[in-house]
Amino acid sequence: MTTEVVYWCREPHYRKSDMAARNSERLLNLVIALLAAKRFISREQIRDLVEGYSQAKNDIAFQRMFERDKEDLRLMGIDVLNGPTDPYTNAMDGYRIQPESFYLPEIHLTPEESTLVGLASSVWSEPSLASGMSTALAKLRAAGEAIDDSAMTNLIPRLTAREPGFPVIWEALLARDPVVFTYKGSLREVKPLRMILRTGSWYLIAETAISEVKIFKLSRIEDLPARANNPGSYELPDPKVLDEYAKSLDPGPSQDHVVVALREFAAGNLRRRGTPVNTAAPPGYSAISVPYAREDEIVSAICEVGPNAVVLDAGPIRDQVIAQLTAVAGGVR
Amino acid sequence: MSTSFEQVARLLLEIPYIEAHPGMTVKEVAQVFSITPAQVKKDINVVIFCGLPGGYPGDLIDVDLDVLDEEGSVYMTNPTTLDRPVRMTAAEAASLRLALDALRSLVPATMAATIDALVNKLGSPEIASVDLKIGDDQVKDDLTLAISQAQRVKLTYEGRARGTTTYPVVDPVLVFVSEGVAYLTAYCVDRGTPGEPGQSWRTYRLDRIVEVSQTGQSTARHDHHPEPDAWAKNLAKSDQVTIVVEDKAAWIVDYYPTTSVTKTGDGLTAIVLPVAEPAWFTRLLLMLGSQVHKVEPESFAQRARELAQQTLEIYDQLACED
Repeated sequence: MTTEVVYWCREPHYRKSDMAARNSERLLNLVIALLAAKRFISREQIRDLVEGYSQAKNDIAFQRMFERDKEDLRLMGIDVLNGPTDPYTNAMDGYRIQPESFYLPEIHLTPEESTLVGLASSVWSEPSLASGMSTALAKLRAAGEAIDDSAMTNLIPRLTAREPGFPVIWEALLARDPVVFTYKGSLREVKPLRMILRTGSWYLIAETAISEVKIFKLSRIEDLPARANNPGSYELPDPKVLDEYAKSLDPGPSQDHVVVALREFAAGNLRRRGTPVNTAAPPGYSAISVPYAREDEIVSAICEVGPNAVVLDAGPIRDQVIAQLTAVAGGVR
Repeated sequence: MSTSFEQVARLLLEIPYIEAHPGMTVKEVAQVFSITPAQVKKDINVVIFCGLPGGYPGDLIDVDLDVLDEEGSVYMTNPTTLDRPVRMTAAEAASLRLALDALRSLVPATMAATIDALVNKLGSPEIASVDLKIGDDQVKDDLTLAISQAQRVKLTYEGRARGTTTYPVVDPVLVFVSEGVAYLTAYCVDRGTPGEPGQSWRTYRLDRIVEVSQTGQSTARHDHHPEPDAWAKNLAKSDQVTIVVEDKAAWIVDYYPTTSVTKTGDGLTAIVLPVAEPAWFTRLLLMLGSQVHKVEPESFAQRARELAQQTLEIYDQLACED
């Protein structure tokens, strides 16, 4: 083959010297050959058909080369199928790439959809998500889709992941590979099931060693997570099941109420949350019954607005508010 | 990862791309794939040695090298089956899906259906989700509509820093998301509070806008609006305040920009944070109460101390009346 193709090449010196280029040619020719094969082809056929393998000095060298190439293709997301060259035997001695699993399916985007994909392209400023996004976009473009990433400049969604553990956990989740990290002082091995970005923080829903599903906040992981190197070792559950767990991140329903005097035209957040009641309030204030789910949350919300909110109901909420304000005032009453 | 790995992964896209866009210049191809024009030439030098098994000239991928040299544009004849790109990897599909999910909560409701259809079409798995603090859907839709139609609007705004409700009249320009929170950049023509300084560019948190009402007026022309993250850059120039808090109050690190965070080991964390608006910092101190052990410089704690004392006096008065 070499003598025939010299004609096509303008830079024979480059060709001799560049090992990487020859490796690329071999890998690409292997993909083309496996993809063109109508049935499973044997290693020997592959060795004859794909030009780069002739440089292998012996069977063992070829074998090693071929295995490494297959692994590279797997990492690119290309499935090399293993099956019998002779359908009447069960010897798994052949290889091919099925066109159905190789190509990007036909996707015809409407102009509106192209605009949205273009807009989506600017969302990630986290490197591993951004690089996944840009190759996804390159694939759509290579399929002939015209993606405009300059439209709708009045909407700028930009999301990131500042948590140092993010890239490892993200890759692990994609590979369905357990991860190990230290959380609240103890070392844990968990199976990542889903990641959630919620108001700027990333969370991981994962199955623990004792088969419990738990939510971990990535910023609370105390070391750099490590992969267990056991990819594909578990299956992801039905997304609906995980939706239920994700909901537990929402604050619980409000069950209790406390009556608070709110200064007119102030503390709008508390006012909007509650309903007016007929309780006597100091001049310039009105009484509002405010629902809450957690005591610490309502205490913070009331303290935060200072003299704009005064608890009228005697009880634990008032006691805690007074204690907290006393602390801020420097212990002076 | 070896250079040939990257090169082959790219070529599996570059080949169908060049075939689908005949006559593109080397420079243009380089731009699309974020590589140098020299790399495009190297890629082409690999491509012309690839083809269907057999290796006869007609089986090989052919690039017109004369046109390439003279005009710098690429024409390719591709007899192989590499005429369509490879399907997306799980990582690519997931990044795209997640970005579209993030958009769904931001675009007008009418476009949300388009996103659903698109996600369906792309068939990417749901392995992650995004939950943005956007606030009220009606507010978001009203704002995006007002932006696209250049309408002046009146906001009902819960200014958290001051704890009061204001009614600024604004020309909305841009909605952006930063740290998971959506903001509106708008030119404020009337702050709605007497005695406040007049017209200026302002940033409003979407989840604190309670209502958007029409004014029937169109927006005026304004100078270039500030960059969406201009306030973040301003933060870098603001006063740096150190607070020492109990570890359980360390959640504030997740919610506010910080300059440094140091665990001091005795159950305490020292956090240095930029304070652009003293009123905001005062509220933070009131909210954290006894979990704050120290504020440095001391003067930044002064206002919170005064407000706490004032409030306690009101409680004292109420107790006397009882």
